[in-house]
Amino acid sequence: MFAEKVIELLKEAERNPDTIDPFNDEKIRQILEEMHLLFKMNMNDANATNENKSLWTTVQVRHSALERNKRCLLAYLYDRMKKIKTLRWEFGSVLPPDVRELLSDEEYQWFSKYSTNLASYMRSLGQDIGYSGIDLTENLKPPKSLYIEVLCMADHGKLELEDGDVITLKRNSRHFLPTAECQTLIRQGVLKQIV
Amino acid sequence: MDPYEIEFLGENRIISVIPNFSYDKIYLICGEFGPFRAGLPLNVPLWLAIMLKQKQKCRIVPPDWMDLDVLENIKEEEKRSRFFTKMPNEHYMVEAKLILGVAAEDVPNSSEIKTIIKDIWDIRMSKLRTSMDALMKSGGSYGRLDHLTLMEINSVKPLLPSAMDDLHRIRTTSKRPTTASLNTSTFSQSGSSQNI
Amino acid sequence: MSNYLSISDILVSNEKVPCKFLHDLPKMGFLDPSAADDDLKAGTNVEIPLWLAESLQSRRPPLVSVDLPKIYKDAYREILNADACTVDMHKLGQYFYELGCYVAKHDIKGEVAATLENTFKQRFRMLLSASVSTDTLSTMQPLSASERKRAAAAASSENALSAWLQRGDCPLTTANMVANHRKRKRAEMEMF
Repeated sequence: MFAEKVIELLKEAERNPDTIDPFNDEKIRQILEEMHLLFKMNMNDANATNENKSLWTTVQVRHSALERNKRCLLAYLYDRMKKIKTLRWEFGSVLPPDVRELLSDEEYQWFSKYSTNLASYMRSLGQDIGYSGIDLTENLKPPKSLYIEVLCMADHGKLELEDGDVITLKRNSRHFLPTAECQTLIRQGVLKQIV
Repeated sequence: MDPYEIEFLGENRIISVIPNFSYDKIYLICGEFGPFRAGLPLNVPLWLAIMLKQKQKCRIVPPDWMDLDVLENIKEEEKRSRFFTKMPNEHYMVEAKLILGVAAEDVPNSSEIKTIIKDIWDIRMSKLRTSMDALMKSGGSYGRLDHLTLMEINSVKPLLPSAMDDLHRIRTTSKRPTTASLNTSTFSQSGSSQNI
Repeated sequence: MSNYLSISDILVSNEKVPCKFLHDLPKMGFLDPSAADDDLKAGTNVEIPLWLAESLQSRRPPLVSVDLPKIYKDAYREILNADACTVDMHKLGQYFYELGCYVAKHDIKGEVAATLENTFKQRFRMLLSASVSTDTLSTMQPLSASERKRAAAAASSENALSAWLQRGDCPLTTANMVANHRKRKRAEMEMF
């Protein structure tokens, strides 16, 4: 049957809506091969339609299959693009290596450009009234208190606070920190709020 | 919307507190409050009242409606009526939860009041569910939400609006004659906003 | 409804529908798994994906006539109209409403359209109870793919509300995708 490989690809994406899978080079190569084959067969048969009129319908059927494959591939890329956007909002501008390697080179390029775009947009916000930008990836939840207690989930190294203090974030250490200065680390899973 | 976002909106409601300190007027984005005079009641936003209470800097004056008789009447009427009755204010649940949460000792009969507010909430929520089912069964394409508060309306999202959309889509597309073929349909890119 | 980039619409249009070929189709014999010929003969009945059926049917003249999948036929329609809540859509029609909207036009009397609407209205209460049930396994089981999605979304707003009612503060948490990638990485590490 036509366009079966590409459906496997999409089912994979549908199964894991909350994570991004490795870019599936191999399957995409197979799908493009199927498309090349369909195209070649169509070229041959299109040239032969003079002798055999009924071949024309066959050409049209294969053409539908080509368009189907194209639609599915585009949907696959588009779905990944939306996820890559989310990566920027949740992991920040620097992806951990194990997440970075799930993206194809082109996708990573897109991620970097999106990240730069977002950053320059955020920097531009409020400039007309004297502010030097707002980080839109912060304060995603209504503020409750200025300071919170957090537990460190990983060895993260040194963190310099706005008042100049430097603290070391070691696994299982507890800290009492300004919410504004640790909420990004909480979203990135380095810290965990203790309640 | 997250319930905490609605709580945030509700925290802007003005309530009365009696501070145990004196301080000048303060200037906030939402307005000017003060001056604070120890022992004299004044109006402040709910969030500020809660913060001061947590630091033991004030006593909260319970809103008028946080009273056993008033609430008993509301409960009776809510039980009697087929429709939703008008609540004392748009954020009664937020006010109740925050005030009774940190300042129960400032509210006379606080535990009875807690129970009765919870009763009213439960009656309204079960009424809401029954009327949702009735609305869908009757195939209604609109519903009246008179006197429902923001928190209550939010509790039926996204289920009710999306089910009404689904029903509408089934009605219109299942009766429509053939349109263009599937894979060459118009390239409609939904403006997907960030899902956060 | 046919949204070009929507994965779920693509999966719906991948469902098979019974078709009858009205013309000979050279070199397309492989569409019929039971035939050995290179060419597909007029009059062959075969199940093909909806997207292909739609494309063949929209040719002038049409190359196939599309029949209804069995869940939309008389026998099932009777059951659905009597009590739609007894039907296990997960088994019988993962994409019951979506596929139904596509094939309803092949039923001139409009009975499929009426059954779709009626079924949806009846089954709404299953979504309601699945969204508050503690036994999600059994309440979610008989739901179709889109019903499950709706019920799961409803359950998560239900949970958010009861969490709000129960606790005083709003803890900050790890972002969704970050948490899920961590989880997956842990699972992968345990596997090897």
